[in-house]
Amino acid sequence: METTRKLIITGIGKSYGGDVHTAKIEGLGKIEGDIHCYEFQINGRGEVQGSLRAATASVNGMGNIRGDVRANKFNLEGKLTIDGNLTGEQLRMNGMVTVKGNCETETFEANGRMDIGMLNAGQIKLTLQGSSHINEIGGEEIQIRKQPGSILEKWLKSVPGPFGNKLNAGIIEGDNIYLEHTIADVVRGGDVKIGPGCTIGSVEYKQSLDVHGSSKIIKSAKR
Amino acid sequence: MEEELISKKDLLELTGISYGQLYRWKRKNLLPEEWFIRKSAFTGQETFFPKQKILDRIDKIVHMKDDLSLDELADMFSPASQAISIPMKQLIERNIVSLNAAKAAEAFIGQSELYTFEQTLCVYILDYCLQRGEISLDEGKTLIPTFLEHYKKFKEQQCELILLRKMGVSVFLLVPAGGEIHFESGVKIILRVDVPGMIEQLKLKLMAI
Repeated sequence: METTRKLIITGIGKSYGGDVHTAKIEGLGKIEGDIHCYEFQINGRGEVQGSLRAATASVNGMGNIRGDVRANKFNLEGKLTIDGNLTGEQLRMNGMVTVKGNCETETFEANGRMDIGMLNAGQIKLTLQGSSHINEIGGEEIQIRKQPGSILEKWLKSVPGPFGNKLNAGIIEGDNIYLEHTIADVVRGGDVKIGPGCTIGSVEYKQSLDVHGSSKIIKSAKR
Repeated sequence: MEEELISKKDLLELTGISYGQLYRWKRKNLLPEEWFIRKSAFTGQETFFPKQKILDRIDKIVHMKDDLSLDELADMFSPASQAISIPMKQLIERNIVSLNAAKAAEAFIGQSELYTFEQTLCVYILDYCLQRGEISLDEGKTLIPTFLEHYKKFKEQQCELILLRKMGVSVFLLVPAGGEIHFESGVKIILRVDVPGMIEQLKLKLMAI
């Protein structure tokens, strides 16, 4: 990318996107088309109606992307919605993420609430806050933990309802799996460790299976 | 064409690879998305694969991953044209195409010194068909313009080359792969060439310098 053009929206504005070096929205901005850049940044609230391609992308605040996203490095602090697929190398998320399509990256580290169609990553580290939903998770290293409880959460626990930090998943497959507070239909893997608070329909494992006392597993088999 | 399917579990057991590897290869585009067939089974949703294709591919990956990086492998398996040009002389010397096929192609592609990947692919397919002994050189001469003119239209989609014959008249077709086609009676399918497969073979040969 030789272009040195910059697309900067400060305040309120919109643009048609295109091929630029840096794209930055500070305030409230809309890009009505595809954007292809080296560095992408939203501080505030931004919307991209096409697809996004960037070497590094960061969203601080709220981001809404209608098409596919391809970014080697992605950093999120806040809320992000992607209607298409998300591909990249390194993803770090803090907040609420919705990806309607598939998500494929080498490392995926997220803290907060996730709603993803399919997640495929080498290293997956999720820290749950609130209720998340992922249809299919696949990878080498999968770790799903719950954020250590706050006082507020203990209060809420006394009321039955959809509170609490948990993950709902269809299938989880990986070489090394550690789960906490996860509800899944099927878990398949090499070394599987089920921590507290899980409900799993069936577990298939190759090397080892370790289950915490408070978790419920309906069926397990070594293959 | 009903393809035999294999479930993910059976596949891993048969090949000895792990879930992590399978997902990793998919991420690297070594395994095309179309091969992941999701079906509901008694355990919920299960993923199936076309058995022969996936076993072939995994065999190749396992044997070649020591020599090539995953990105290089992905490049080889992708149906995208490689950005290369190569002198025809070298193709003949390295035994990638035969002299006959090269001569037949020359009339259409011209005497240009360097062949693009697409042109090379065309000659390579022609050569393959001739070697199989199922087409005549004359028929081959209609293959070249057909292929060169229409192949681009498929972009990176997978396609198949089919040769039909009825009452001695032959017809070439380029169709998207995986589709089902039916013909009137009396039509004989002489040849079906899986173009992505040929691309793979050709890339492999071009790489082995």
